Amino acid sequence: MEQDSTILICDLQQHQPAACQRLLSTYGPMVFRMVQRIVTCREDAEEVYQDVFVKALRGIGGYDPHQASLATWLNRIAYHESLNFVRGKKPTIIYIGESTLGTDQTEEPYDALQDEETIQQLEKALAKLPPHEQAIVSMFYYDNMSLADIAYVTGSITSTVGSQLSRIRKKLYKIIKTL
Amino acid sequence: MNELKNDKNLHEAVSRREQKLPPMPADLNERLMQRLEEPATASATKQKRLWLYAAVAAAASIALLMVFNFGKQQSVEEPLVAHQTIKQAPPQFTSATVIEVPQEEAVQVKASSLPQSAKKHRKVVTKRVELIPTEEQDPFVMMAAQVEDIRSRGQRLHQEIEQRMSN
Repeated sequence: MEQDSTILICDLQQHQPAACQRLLSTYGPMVFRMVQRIVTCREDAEEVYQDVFVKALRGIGGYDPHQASLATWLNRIAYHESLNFVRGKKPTIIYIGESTLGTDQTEEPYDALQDEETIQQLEKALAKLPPHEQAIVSMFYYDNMSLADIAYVTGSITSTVGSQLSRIRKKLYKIIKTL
Repeated sequence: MNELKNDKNLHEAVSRREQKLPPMPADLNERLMQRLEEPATASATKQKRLWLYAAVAAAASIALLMVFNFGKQQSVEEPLVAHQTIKQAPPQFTSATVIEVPQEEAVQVKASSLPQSAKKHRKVVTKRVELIPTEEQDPFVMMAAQVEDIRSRGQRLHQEIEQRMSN
C-alpha cells in the first residue's frame, strides 16, 4: 500500500494523467466525504471537491510523505478548503456555542448503554455543532483517525485535539438536554 | 480518552449521520479531469495570443519610433530651410560689378618660362566674379571676392618675382 502510494506520488509529480485518475478513484470518495461534512450544499461541495484536487495536484511537489500519509494530506487540504469556503460564504446559521449551554462544566455525559433515543438525539445535536467540530468528531468516530492525524489535518497539536474532542462530547450531551 | 472511545451512542450517531450523506456523483471525477486538462490547452492558446500581442506591440513601437524619428528630423530641417529661403531671402542683384582682376594680357610672361604652379594660378585668375549686390552684399560673394583678390595679388607678386629672376 505504501509502495503504491509512493509510486502514485512519483507519477503525480511527473504530471501523468493516468496517475491523476488513479488518485481521484482512490481518494476521491474520502475527500468528498470530508468536504460534505463541512459544506452542506451539494453543488458547493462539488466545487470545493474540485478545488481541493486542483490545489493538491499543484502542491504535490511540496508533499512530504514523512509528515503524513497521502490520505491525511488530502484530508488536510479538503478540511481547510471547505472551512475557507464556508467562512467566505458567511452563513447565517447560528451554531450553539459553549456560553448558551450554561456553566455546568463538571457534569459527565451519562454512560454508554446503547440507547436508540440517545442516538437519535445525538444525531440532531451533531447537526447543531459548527462545521469544524462536526468534522473533528467524524474523523475520530467514523474515519478512526488517530489524534495525531486529526491534529495534522486541523493544523493543531495532539493534546489540543484530545481536549477538543472531550469538550465537544460534553457539549453534545448538553445540547441533548436542551432538545 | 477511553470515555471518548467507549461512547457507543456517539459512535453510532456519527455513523448514521455519515451514512446519510449522499454519495459522490459518478461524473464528478470526469468533470474534474476535464477541468484539469483545460488549463493545458488554455495556456497554449494564451501563450500564442501573448506572442501575437508581443509581436504587434513590437511592430507598433518600431513604427512609432520611425515616425517620431523622421518627424524630428523634419522639424530640425524645416526652420533651417525656412531661414534660408523665406526669412533671409537672397539679395537682389540690380547690376553686375566687375572686380578688379588682373587680365591675362596684362601679364607679359612667356608661358613656357612659367613654372607649373604659376600656370595653375593663371587658370584661377581667369575666373571673374561679376555679380555683386549693390545694396545688401551677400557675405558669401564678398568672401569669394576677397579670396579672389588675395589670389590675384599673390599671382602678381609671383609674376614679379619671376620677372626679376629672369632678368
